[in-house]
Amino acid sequence: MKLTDTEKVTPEALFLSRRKFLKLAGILGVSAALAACGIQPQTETSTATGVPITGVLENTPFPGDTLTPYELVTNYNNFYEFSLNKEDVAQKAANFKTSPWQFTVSGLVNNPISLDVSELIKKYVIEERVYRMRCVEGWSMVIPWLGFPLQKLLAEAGVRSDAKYVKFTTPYDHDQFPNDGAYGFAWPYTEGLRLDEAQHDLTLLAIGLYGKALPPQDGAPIRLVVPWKYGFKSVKSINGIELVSEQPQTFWSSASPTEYGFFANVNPAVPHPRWAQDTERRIGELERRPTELFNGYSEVAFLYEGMDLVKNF
Amino acid sequence: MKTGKANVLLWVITYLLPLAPAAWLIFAILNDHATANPVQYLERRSGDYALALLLITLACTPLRHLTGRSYFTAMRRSFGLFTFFYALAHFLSFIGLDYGWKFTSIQQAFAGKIFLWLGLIALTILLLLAITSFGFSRRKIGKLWQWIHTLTYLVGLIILAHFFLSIKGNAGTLTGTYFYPIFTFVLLLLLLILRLPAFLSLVEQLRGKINKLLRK
Repeated sequence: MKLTDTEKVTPEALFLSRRKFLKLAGILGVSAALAACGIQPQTETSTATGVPITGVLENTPFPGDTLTPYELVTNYNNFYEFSLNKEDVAQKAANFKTSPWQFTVSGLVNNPISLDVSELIKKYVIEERVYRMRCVEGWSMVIPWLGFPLQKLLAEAGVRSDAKYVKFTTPYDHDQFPNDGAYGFAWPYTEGLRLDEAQHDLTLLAIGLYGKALPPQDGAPIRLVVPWKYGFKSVKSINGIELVSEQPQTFWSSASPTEYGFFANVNPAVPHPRWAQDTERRIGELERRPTELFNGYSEVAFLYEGMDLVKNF
Repeated sequence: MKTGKANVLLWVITYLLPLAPAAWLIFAILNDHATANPVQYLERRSGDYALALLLITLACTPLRHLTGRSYFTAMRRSFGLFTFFYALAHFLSFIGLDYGWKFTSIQQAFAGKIFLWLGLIALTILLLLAITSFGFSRRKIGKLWQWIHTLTYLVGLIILAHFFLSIKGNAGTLTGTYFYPIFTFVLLLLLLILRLPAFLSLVEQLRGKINKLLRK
């Protein structure tokens, strides 16, 4: 992350989001100091899963980035399993059951993992990460996630040397996901990363946002967040991670391989057939802003050195 | 026989009802019902309304044939003009609200996007139709007017291609929400069939029966 002055993250925006969701301003302002003293600021206990969520801010947001209000983050969701209308997802996902939720790590690993997600998240220090989320449709948000780096889980599972890619799976469950099987898509939703992408410290398994457990519409109980890639790579409601040797098939590139590539790195120079990608609209703002290569996360550029980003879109 | 009340009702349907969607859009935007992305909401809805009104416009002549009611002619012109109104709102919300009138951004947005060019072509034809929809131009250009206004069907086809290509999915394999454009395409074909000469004689036969029913 770019290390910048945390004071510049506009506190007004934080207060705009409902008071009860966090004393986030405080956390953003003082967590670095507290963490240095070995103190973890306590945030609210999640009501959704009963998991006490503690957050330590582990990154610094971009200067000038304003948090997208909670109401907007939780009421404008691309989650095709529930609805193809972003504004309808929250309501349709309201009764989504995330407990019990078996989570497995399998494939080319030395120590396969299989346990309930509530047990899994107890094993890791939950960090707060303020990330940009850039959707391929040309809109973006800034979201304070809670989670832990995927690399910690991968390290525990013991990735074998023949593993080259990480595949993420979600349940196929028509009772829970009403659209499973519909519209000709390759359900269930699957995604994938190259192993080095998955092991990058920015790559997060998120379990919460704004100090609370993830609401269903944002990918409860656990989801991927890869902030330098278009949002569809950040698969929601994951139930399995599989280490594989071949590049896995993914939901959107199965639907339309010419439109959605495997890498899907945010890149203003590579237009999508329907959306020019040089600008974006921050949700809550009227004017478009320029889109940055890798969504501004220039520290991941080394992963793609020597690669043709137009060809490997 | 038309009573005064019926006349008022017809006037309201012809000239006020098509404004209801615009009123809703304004209300929705002012009252936070337009999603977290009101610009996109306005863009999409104005396009939906334009397409719906285009089909309603095209239904007017067949309805006149079937019922013999002359008020469908006035409705056709009004609905046609409102189709242009919503199409224009759709276009302006795209270049003005979404892209802030910035020429280079708009240029970038249009680069290589066939569906956007199709929309622009449809809008241009609708502009031509709107300009020539007034009585004086109809008298002036006579037969040409008839020909120009059959372009409405072409506009329908172009708009459907525009709609089809704008959907997130795969038009080739129909992966995605292609139900609405396909449904609309079927309606458009149906409306076109209703105008074919072979069909008109059938309509003549039906007309007597329908009028009997209407009188009951």
